[in-house]
Amino acid sequence: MSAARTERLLNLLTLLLNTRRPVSLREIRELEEFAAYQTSDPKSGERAFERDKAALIELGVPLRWVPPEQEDDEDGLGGYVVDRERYYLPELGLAPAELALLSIAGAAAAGIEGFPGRAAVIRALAKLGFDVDDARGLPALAHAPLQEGVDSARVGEHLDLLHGAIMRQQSVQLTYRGAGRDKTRRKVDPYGLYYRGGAWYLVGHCHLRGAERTFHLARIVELAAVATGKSPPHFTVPSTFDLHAHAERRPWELGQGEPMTVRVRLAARLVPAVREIFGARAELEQPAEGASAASGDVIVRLDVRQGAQLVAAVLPYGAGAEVLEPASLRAEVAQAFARLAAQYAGAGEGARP
Amino acid sequence: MSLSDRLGRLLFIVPYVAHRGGVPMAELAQRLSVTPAQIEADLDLLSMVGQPPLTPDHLIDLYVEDDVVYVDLDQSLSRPLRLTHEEARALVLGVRLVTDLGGVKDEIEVVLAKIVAALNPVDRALLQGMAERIRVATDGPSTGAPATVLRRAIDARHVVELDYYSATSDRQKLYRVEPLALVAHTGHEYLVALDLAAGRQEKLYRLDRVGAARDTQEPFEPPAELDLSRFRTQRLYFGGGAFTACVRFSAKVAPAMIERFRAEEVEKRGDGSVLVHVSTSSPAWLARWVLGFGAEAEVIAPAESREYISALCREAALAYRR
Repeated sequence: MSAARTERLLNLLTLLLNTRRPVSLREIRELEEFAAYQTSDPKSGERAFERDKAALIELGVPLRWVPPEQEDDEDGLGGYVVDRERYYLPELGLAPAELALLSIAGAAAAGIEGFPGRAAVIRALAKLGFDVDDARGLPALAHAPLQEGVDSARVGEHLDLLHGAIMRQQSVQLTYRGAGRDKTRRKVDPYGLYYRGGAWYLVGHCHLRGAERTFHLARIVELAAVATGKSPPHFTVPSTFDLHAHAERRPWELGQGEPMTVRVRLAARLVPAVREIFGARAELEQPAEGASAASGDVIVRLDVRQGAQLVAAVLPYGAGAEVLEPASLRAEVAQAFARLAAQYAGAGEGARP
Repeated sequence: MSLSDRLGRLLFIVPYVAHRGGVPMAELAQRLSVTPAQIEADLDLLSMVGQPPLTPDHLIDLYVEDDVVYVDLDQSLSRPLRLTHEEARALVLGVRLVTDLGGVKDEIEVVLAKIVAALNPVDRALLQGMAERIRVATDGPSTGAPATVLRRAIDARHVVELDYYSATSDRQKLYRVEPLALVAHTGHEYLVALDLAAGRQEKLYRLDRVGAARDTQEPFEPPAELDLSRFRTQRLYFGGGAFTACVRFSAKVAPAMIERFRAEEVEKRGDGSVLVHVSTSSPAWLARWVLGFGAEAEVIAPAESREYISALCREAALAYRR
């Protein structure tokens, strides 16, 4: 983008900011600094002005047109003003420690690989620091890296676009590569985004399936805002939508139907890691009087919809995470361990038929 | 560089310098994350603009002396442009990435609310509810909720005692540590601390494995320099791997492994299964990882790891016979 245009935009903004009355396009055109609006074909000069005006508005400048009603409006054309009240950043009264916290957050967003919002973060933090002196904050860092091998520039760009579409409640059109490499084109109403284990996911209403679906951002091949004549909002997010439930659910919690209650004995040494192992919704039973309380073991209660997934979750901890009930699930785990014990008793896979 | 990026920066430089009354070029460059050469180019451009018609008293009056920038006439660019919805939304995203990090979540929400309240009405309406539309999956606080204790101890420079489940050794241990910093990485929160029993070696402790944390009130002197940016990596390394294990994954889970590991770590086989070579220093970690795949994965080598898993499975099989 040319320096000449940047200069012109700055001149235009400064002119409007310093003039307390609306300035008409005719007046603007008469100034030699705005020769670009003074073309032989008046329409093209007007378009250049419209483009500059749009650029300032996009930047957040409260520039508006005022209809011709004031007495000092000689041309009867109306004019343009920049609303000073709305232009200037108000004093936010942020404490240095508060700014330090925001800096940690800002650095985290700026650190997302390929994220085009980096410049916006830097600008935001600079502005917020206008009235605040630097302070030593909590030594902390937040980082949300992407899994290896993904096209981080594309994911970062899609993340920014989806984040913006969610804000405006704007539908998007995406090409999605399924697990079987098949590609489908879908229109989606984006409800929310979550990050888990190095990957970003979009949750939204999929028009192709007529239902709520989750999309892995790394598998979105193409993405664009839906171009309709209708300006957003294109949809409303159902009040029952709960992003938390999507982001934090464990594999055994997925699915329909009534969940079964599973009780697991967790060995004392593993108790600090109970959230890591069983997630946020695990409940700890109050220790009953008797031997198990003295040992420090605890009983964990879980709502399970997919038994096989819970089996996979307890296997890594061996006897340390022992399924007690229901008996059917306990039998499944017992069988899995018997099979594994037999498998590992051999010398390796070469020894097996 | 897009137009709005540069223009946004220029609109910040004028009021910032005018307000502070002299700002070193290096400080401007750092605050705006650009090179000093870029700042110089920005200042050149700014010295040519103002309120048309551009008579001398209508120009932004700006000069540099000994690499310090001064603004005498700001032409009403006296405060920065208000935050835009794009800027506020980028901050919302960042705040979400911080997760709770030592109990800062509530405080940071309050600060964010102040910022959103100061937006123009249209922007404010756009940001409404945005915080609920983005999330980083975490497993919630550990049972002991030690994060605030740790945060205070970092601040006060006090030695803390941790009841910690060490996944590397599959044991619960008591650690005495000098707590230095908190790091959120891939949705997990960690304490960076020096382990007093290990010659003040720096270690990372996952907060969701801390059972309890106690402030001993015993003071310590933290290292002068603490560079946290080294944790801004794809993986958090806990020291180099002591051995390489070979794991077979069935055809059913092979595609996921091919997606997850580097090509040189994966060996494809005729039946659709794959062999994955992973470097690790902990047989306990390896066992947990592989057992999570049930019958779809098997450690092939080394023999010691097979023996470790074998013992674990025999013990479990026995426990389930009770």
